[in-house]
Amino acid sequence: MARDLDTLFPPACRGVQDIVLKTQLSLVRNHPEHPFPQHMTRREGLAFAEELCERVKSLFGAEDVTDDPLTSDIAETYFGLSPLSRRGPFYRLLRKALGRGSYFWIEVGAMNHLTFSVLCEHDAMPQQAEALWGLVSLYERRYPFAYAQPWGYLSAQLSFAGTGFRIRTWVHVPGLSHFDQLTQLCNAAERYGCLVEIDGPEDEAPPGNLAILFNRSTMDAPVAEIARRHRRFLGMLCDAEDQARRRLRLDFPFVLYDRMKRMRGLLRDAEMLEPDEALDVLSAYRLGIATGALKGREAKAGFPHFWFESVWDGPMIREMECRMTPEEQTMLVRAMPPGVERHGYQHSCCRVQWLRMLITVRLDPAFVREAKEWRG
Amino acid sequence: MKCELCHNHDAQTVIYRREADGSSRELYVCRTCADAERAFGGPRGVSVTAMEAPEPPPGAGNLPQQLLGKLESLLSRLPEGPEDGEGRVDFTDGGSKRCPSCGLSLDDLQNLSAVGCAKCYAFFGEALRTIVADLQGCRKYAGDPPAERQPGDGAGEGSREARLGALRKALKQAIEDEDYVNAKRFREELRKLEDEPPAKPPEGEEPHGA
Repeated sequence: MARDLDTLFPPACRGVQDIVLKTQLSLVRNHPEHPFPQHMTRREGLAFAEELCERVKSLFGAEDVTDDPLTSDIAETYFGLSPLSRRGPFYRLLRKALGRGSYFWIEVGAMNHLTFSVLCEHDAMPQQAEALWGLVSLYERRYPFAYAQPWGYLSAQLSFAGTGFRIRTWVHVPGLSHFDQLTQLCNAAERYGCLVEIDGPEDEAPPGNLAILFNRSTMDAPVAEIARRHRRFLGMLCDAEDQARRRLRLDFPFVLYDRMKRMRGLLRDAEMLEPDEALDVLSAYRLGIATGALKGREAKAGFPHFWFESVWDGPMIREMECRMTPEEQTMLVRAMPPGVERHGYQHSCCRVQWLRMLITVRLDPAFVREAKEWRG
Repeated sequence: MKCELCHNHDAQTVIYRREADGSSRELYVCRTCADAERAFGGPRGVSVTAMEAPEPPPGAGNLPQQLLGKLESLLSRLPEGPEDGEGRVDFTDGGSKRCPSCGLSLDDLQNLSAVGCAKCYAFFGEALRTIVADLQGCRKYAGDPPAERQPGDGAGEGSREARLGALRKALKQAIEDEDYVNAKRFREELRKLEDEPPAKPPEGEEPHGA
């Protein structure tokens, strides 16, 4: 099966963008004179949160978006901020726009007094980690944080004691997942100072073949060095995933073909999709595009990661509101089986309608021929 | 028995290589080769399966759960009596001594998976250090030092050079981000600071925090 790899994997479809969905940098900080949020009384917490918000607003010019439930919900899904379950009674969310669709987020009263975070570019991780540190240092020059040797910065979670820095990368690893190499990935990650968070039982492929990679230690090096190590391991992960995808495409094309057909079948015939099922559909879709098995108008390299996130209720509704005309929205509601709202299935039905537009992509005829030859 | 891969070191573990034909081959290898082999599997057509009694993959579980495990094992091997007279926790009552500042006990820490306040770090000292070392694989902070405080904003005098550097960096970042409001503010602060005569260096600045 001699083939030119570059024909099968056009350079534009390979690489980091296909595997790395996003990277979040965050720094947690606390002030020495107050207990951490979980140990504050309501009155103390509210007063202190108010004070912190004022400081953040005046220093960074940030806006308070706590009372916008959709933004707050979307912030969790899109930007990796604290989940609702970890937001205390005096939780406040502020943001400062940095550029187009890019924000500097400041959480007040989550698990720690302050959590600063940004999404960052893959190539600029160390520089952006330093920039975040510099930005937080501006605050620290006026209002010192809880810091003591040999710990470094003190935080409510012991896993954050030190720099308080966490770098988290969401990766899409259908190749490694297919070849049952996620355990090996976890073992290798640990040796490079990283941990891997995988949803679901360890012997099963996680929904959407998604995993989160993050740094284990926050105290053994400056943030830029932690980011550099993280990026180095991420490079290895991308190589391994790329190899696994090639192997799947070259050695087992019929397996890939089957996966594409199932994905298209679900998109065509399903009436309802739960979030985990939708993630699997999107995983197959991305894999199909990256390996050249799928072709079509939407089959672009580096397809925006929102597809994964848009299967969750809040972001899905917002995406639909943003991207569809009122007429389209009415048509979508009409396309749903009658009475779904009454029984609470409207989001599952909506999800199918929302994802059905992906069916416009088609299987590459050369790939289909190859898959059938492999079977025959 | 020597490692079947490098033939240098003693074999310490066994790995199972899955060959291209689906059969499995047993290899006695040293730990270094085992680690190298199971990083991501072997070359095309061969995959390597983790062997030994497999521990749960790191990070597959959540950290609070790991923390609970560490705390349980820590409580079970706590020494009898106080460690010293320097305000460290007395473990004789099974870790129920409370932090004088926030009232947290080690039992509470086990339930909440969270430290109560900055003072807890000094109060529970070695106990927390053990947990942190297990969680992070490191016992001593080696990160960047805290930022110097600005003059007039508190007890300490800031380092002028450090402030200038930070302001220049912040200004550059703000310009790159097209955040012109803050860029203007940083530029003004920078000019003001550059016009100021250099201040005397502080003598023995007090550490802040715990």
